[in-house]
Amino acid sequence: MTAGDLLFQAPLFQVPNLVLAALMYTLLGRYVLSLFFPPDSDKVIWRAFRGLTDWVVRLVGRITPKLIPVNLLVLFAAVWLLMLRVALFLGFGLLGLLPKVTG
Amino acid sequence: MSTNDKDKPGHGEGETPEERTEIMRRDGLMIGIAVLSLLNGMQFSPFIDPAFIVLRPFAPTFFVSSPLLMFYLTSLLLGVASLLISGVAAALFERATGRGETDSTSMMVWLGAAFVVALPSILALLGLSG
Repeated sequence: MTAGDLLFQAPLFQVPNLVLAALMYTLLGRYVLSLFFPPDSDKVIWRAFRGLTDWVVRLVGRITPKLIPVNLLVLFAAVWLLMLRVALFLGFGLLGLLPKVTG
Repeated sequence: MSTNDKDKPGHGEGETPEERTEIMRRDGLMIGIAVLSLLNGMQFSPFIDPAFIVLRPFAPTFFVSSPLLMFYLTSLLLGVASLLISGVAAALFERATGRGETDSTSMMVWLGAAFVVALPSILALLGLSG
């Protein structure tokens, strides 16, 4: 069974899982970039990472005390997304809807 | 403390004694929140074993193959997760009361929430859990 087969076997789980994973890695990438770029940089890569993740950071900012600076908020958002992925995995696992990998 | 104390070395410029006291109180509360959050990631925590098992399928996504590293990662993630989850109460409190910034009152709410989240670990540490 290939990875592609797995994706089509359980799209209800795999599609949100892939989206959450992509967002999580983009947030981690944004954090690494924030070490090299100023917050108002007009470089395309920085604007692209910010454009893709700003809404998640804003959303996480609503459930995080204002004391936390934006750069740390980016890391916090990545951890929230990981927790969401774990919750998704557990939820689908409990419902027996996780794809089965056979050897 | 007199107002001239502001001119002494080691004091921030433009800070009143009240502001300095507030900053020190917030620092103390932050340390308390961090300690309580870290308790959930310790080996005696009742959350560590279930979290280790649940996070195992995610280990390859972090390029982690060693069980020891996985244990450290689980511990770290549990600590950070406790910090974030307890922070939700403080954030909601700040928004409900219209606070523009995090003050010592909202940090006390955060500390209280962190205590509630860490309670099972504290009980396990004291040997009081069933």
